[in-house]
Amino acid sequence: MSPIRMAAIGLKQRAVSSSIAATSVALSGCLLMLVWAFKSEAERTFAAADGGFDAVLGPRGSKLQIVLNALYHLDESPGLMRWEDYERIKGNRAVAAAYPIAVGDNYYGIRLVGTEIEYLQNHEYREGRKFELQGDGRLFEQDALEAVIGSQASRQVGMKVGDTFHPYHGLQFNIDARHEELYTITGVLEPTGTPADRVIWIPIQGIQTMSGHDPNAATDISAVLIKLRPGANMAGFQLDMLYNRRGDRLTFAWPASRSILQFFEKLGWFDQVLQAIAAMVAVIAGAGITAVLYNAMNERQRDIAVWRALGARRQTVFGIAILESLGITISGLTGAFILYAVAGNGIARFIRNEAGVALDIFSSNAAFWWTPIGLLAIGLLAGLAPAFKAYKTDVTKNLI
Amino acid sequence: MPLLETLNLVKRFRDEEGRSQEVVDVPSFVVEEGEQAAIKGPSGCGKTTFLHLVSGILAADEGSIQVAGTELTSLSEARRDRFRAENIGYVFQSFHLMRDYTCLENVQLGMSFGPGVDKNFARKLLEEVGLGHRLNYKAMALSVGQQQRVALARALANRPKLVLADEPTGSLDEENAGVALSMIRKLCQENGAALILASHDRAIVETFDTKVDFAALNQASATNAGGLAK
Repeated sequence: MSPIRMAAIGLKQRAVSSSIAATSVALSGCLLMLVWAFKSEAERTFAAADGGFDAVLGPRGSKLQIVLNALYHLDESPGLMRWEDYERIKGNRAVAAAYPIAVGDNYYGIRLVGTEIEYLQNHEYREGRKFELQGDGRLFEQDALEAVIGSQASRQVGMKVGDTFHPYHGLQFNIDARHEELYTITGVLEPTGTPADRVIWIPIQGIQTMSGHDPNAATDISAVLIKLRPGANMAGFQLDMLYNRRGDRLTFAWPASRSILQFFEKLGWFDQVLQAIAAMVAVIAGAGITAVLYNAMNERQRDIAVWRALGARRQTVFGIAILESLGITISGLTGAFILYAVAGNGIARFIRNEAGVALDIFSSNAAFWWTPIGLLAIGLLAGLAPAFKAYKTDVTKNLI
Repeated sequence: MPLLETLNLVKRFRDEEGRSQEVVDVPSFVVEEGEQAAIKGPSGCGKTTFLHLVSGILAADEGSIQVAGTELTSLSEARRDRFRAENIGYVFQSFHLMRDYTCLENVQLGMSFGPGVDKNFARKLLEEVGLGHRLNYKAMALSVGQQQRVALARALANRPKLVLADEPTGSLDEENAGVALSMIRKLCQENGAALILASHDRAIVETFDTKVDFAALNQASATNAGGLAK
């Protein structure tokens, strides 16, 4: 009979307390991986989900707010900017493409984003990937009351090609703020895994001239999404200088992903607090294993004495106690990965719904190595005191 | 050459006040290969301590213990453990089976600290003690008599040269005790193992050709009245 089998029988004898200890290991492991892997994956994915744009030009305000509003369709626009500003930057030699967007309306909480048809026709949201329409849908006509809906938004409100809807004023849904215009869905976008999936796209004039909107702002826009020409890094610096240092009316957020990374950096303290909590939970789990096994060794003095009388060396009983500790830890780790898969999927789905960013929770991450290694080390340490007790068991006293 | 030979064997323990007390002081004790010997004496006269010394569970303070040509007192604790696993079988008064192990696992447990698990031999031993139909029963589900038989099979699991039985029938009624004793003696004989059986039961001891009055042999217990025999 192998020591592993003997350790397994020992754990089975104390199935309830062993399971509780393993569960605490599972929870701490899951928490550690969630905090660690999610942070780096979210950072990576959010920075990569820039929709294929290098920069955003918006009204004077926070770069982060402009990027969140224009690229991730989160937060509010800090204000409005003029159409001429869009035309000016579009004409810049360093700019490969520029698309204006306007926001300010919603349909049952789903944001309506006004833009030009060229954005949906020509823009590559990822290298070599353009927007595609499901089935026999088509893009909206620039001067018609037509809309194209993102795949996730379509699922969320259950709208398909041919359906009609009235927009509501503002970014938050208010049933009393209905606009009179009636829009028709002409197409549903194929999923892109970008924030574009969770909004409704309409012609930019639709937002600008919606009934009830200020007629004086009928040509204003919320932001301009900018793709620079390849190798135009210098131009990025120059535009940054032009708009952010010399000008005081507009903000040029470049590179677009940097604002998001800076946002995550600002959240670093929170991340550290969560990691500290997770580490404490792991230590508590280790203490739980020690308590369970130490008590067990007290109860099993006679069994250990019998093993020794049958020829087991002190090192052997020490090893069996360590194996039991590792057995609890490995069971807990297995549980941790299962919990991580379940909780991680839930959180990833939530983030996808809220921000339109698809996280790959199983993409390679150091957390998947260091968490098991760390917990196994804790499990090993937790087993030392009980193992030492087993090692020191007095055979003659316990063989009565 | 005898299978077991002890010479001037002394073991001392400290009492509660920290004073050293001699518990075993046996000038000489010899058992030949295949021999079956009974050592008798009242509880507390040092029989169990003597068996622990002979098996290497305890280290002697003085003297020599030779088992199958090996001087136990010169071995480290780890090597004594190994030697015990390979050469000595032990039957305890209260059997000390693992309650959550099956009969087969209990016998295999004895093997796992020795030369290795031989599942077929473990089965054969259990069949020999009449438990071939209870291989996968948990030890705690067996009757007391059956548990004793599993303990005997476990003691013989590593084909030991010497079997030590400490009051092996102490927990059995008279009828079962007789059956168990016969079985121990028969199986030791069939497996070529010498037997030292410690008992305070005169009737059991009388069935052996070799009988040793341990109370008389042990100079220490004579002086200490067996007060520290454990």
